[in-house]
Amino acid sequence: MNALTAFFAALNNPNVPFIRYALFAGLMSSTAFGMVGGIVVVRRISYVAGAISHAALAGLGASLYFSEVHAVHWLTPMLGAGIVAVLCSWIIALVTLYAAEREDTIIGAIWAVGMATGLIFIAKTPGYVDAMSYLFGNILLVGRTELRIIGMASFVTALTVILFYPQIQSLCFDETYAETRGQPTAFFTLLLYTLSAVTVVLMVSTVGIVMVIAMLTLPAATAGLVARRLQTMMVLAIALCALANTAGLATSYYLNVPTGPTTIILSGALYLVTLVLRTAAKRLRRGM
Amino acid sequence: MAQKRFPVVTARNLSFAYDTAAVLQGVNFTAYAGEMIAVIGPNGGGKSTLIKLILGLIEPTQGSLHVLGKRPSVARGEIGYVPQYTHFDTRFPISVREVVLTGCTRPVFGRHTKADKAAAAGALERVGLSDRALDSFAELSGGQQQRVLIARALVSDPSILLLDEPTANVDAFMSDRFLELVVNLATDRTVFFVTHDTGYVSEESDRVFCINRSLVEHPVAALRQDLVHATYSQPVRKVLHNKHIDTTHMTL
Ligand SMILES: Nc1ncnc2c1ncn2[C@@H]1O[C@H](COP(=O)(O)OP(=O)(O)O)[C@@H](O)[C@H]1O
Ligand SMILES: [Mg+2]
Repeated sequence: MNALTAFFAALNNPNVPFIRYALFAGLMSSTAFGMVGGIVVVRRISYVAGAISHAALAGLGASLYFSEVHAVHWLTPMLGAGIVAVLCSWIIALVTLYAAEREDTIIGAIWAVGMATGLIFIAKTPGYVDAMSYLFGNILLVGRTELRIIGMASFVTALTVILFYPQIQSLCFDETYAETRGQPTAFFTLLLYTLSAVTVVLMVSTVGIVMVIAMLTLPAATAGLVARRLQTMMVLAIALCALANTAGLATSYYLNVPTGPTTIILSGALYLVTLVLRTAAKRLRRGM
Repeated sequence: MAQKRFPVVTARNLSFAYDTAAVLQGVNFTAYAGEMIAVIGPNGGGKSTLIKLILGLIEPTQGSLHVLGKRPSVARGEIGYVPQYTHFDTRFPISVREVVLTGCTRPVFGRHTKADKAAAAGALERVGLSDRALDSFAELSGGQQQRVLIARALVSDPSILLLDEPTANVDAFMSDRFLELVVNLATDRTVFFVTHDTGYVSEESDRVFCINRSLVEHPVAALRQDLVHATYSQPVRKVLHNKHIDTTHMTL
């Protein structure tokens, strides 16, 4: 109980605004993560999201470099990551749709080349840049500007999913059939990849480039264990994601450990426990 | 059948090749409104390819193909389709009714209307699955899932129905019921009913297309057992007014 009281006190403490920012960032981006995570899981494109998030390091590195060396200060790390993530998602989508190249080859290439580019930019940026913060997350990276971007992008992402829900559901369930219904499947594939790219970047600051993919897939996969409809899965995933973010922040504050890894571990534990419970419930029912 | 002879699908010297391997060559036919056409032929003969051409999923390499006087991809809205292979994940979290509704999803914008939901209920009724509307699609048996896919093809009330081996994973009893259903559906629309096994040739079929690279048409009356036997080295089954008669040793 003391731990919770201390956490709430910290939330109200004007001297540590970053805890409040991290909480809001987690809660707001959870909407986008739950919805897009559901899509990524049922469409089985988590490896695409993985490539996009890792490649975003190129954008992070480039924005650090250009703002330091060429004084391009409007290019914040999050914006740079977002631009590169969206571009990479388009490359993967277009190659998958139109080129006769194997999807996994291009995904591997984007994944590694993106990270390599980012690391070189960081190495060439004068002064000390903590690459670890970007790779594994640091809640101190979330300021008011980031919070505003996260809020807006989450809202637009959620709105897009709600607006196009029947079309997205149809595409995810049976793409060929959607095409025979005259649905522009290439456009929607591009849209889904773009949404994944935008979403992934929203939590890059708090959980880091390497682990953000887990926040996209773990709550959605947990929800998928119990939900029988895509929309139920999305709503549940939003709740689980928000829960993991909040509990992760509180726990890490109490134990004085990094927030990102704590949040990821909690999400993974939630998934495992749900999986075990569901399997046990099924066996019990069959046994009766 | 007393139909005005209104051409629905017209193929003229139609050819198709994947890369260089010819799959269909010099195919000519006209399908008329309200006809039920049985499409038979050996595995790999090009039956599914013809269906995909009619749907506009692939383009002819030569010749022309028109659906209701239009390019196939333009006429898609008029076509209901039951695919041979189900490419989707059968554990996808979706209800039976939602699967049927994807058959009338607006291409870009807009949600399902009350009329759509009524049509979905009607389509499920036709395939005898009204009571499963709210169940998970994943919980149904293979045959039931197949019937849901037929309902999905019916929900937009298409004037053309393309059934690509819809009985592939349906047991023998069900597949006779199936044929009954298809015959009923064919009363007010043009149906292409593809099958490769023993040639489900119904008395109700108006025509039989045999596809093996080229298309040869057999009038149903002339479909003699020895001909089919020679093509398949397999017995023929004939369905007469819902009664299933083994014609292995019958002379037609
Ligand atoms: N996507 C494809 N790429 C290359 N060849 C294909 C493809 N699909 C089908 N084929 C070939 O086209 C031929 C006809 O196939 P198909 O129309 O599916 O036959 P059927 O439905 O009569 O069994 C087969 O030889 C098959 O190997
Ligand atoms: Mg076939």
